[in-house]
Amino acid sequence: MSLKKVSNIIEALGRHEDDDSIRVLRDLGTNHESDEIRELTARALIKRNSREALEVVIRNKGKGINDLSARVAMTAINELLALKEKECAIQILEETLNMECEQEVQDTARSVKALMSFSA
Amino acid sequence: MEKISPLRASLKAFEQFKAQRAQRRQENANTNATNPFGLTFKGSMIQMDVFESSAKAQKQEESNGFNDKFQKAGKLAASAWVSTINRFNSIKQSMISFGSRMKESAINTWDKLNKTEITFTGLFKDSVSSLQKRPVIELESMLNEELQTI
Repeated sequence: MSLKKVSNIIEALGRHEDDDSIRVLRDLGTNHESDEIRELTARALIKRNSREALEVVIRNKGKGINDLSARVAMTAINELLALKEKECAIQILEETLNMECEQEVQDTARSVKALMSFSA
Repeated sequence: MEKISPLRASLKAFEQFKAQRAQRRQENANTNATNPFGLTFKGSMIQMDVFESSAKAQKQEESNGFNDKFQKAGKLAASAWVSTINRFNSIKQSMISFGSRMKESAINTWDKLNKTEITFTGLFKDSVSSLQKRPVIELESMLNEELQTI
């Protein structure tokens, strides 16, 4: 496998004009068994900084900031903290706290929101 | 034959010696003019010519030393010049060989360049900017293929 090529494809999908690329990243990238691929996918989705892309990494259990791998989760959180425009991410986190979803997801969202408010 | 007493004989001998001494003094009167001290060396009077000032001798020694040094320096210079010529010759040879090698390598490089065809097709095929311009479906299939190889 050429990881460089995979990384380039994931990054290209993250920058792609067509929003259908988010579906590809969600279906292929975030569900992959390799931590490295999931990490790359979460980073690409967060860098896109669109509502649909951020919802994938914030609200879904086992993806993005809720990933079972600490490395992937920490990478996603770091990318969220590194965003220049955090309004969209904070809004999604607030909505996640008010939604009826799993407690673990809400706890993670609360922690990340606190971190983002401190770093803002 | 006349008989003489020993006393008389000795007196006669003394007078002869006296006369000889006086004669010798007269003979040496002129020679002593240049040798006021009347120095002798192994019985003969030392003439003026044998005198030599110490400064002159030293000067002569110095001049001899200088000549020796000059001769030695000349030999050294000659040997240095020979070694320099050899060195120049070796440098010249090495420069000639270096030049010929450079010429050969330049000719080889030129030949290689003439035979080489440079194509940029596919060089930036997998870059992010080029992938970004492709349709999502194509990227999806590419990603799927690559992920299956893991």
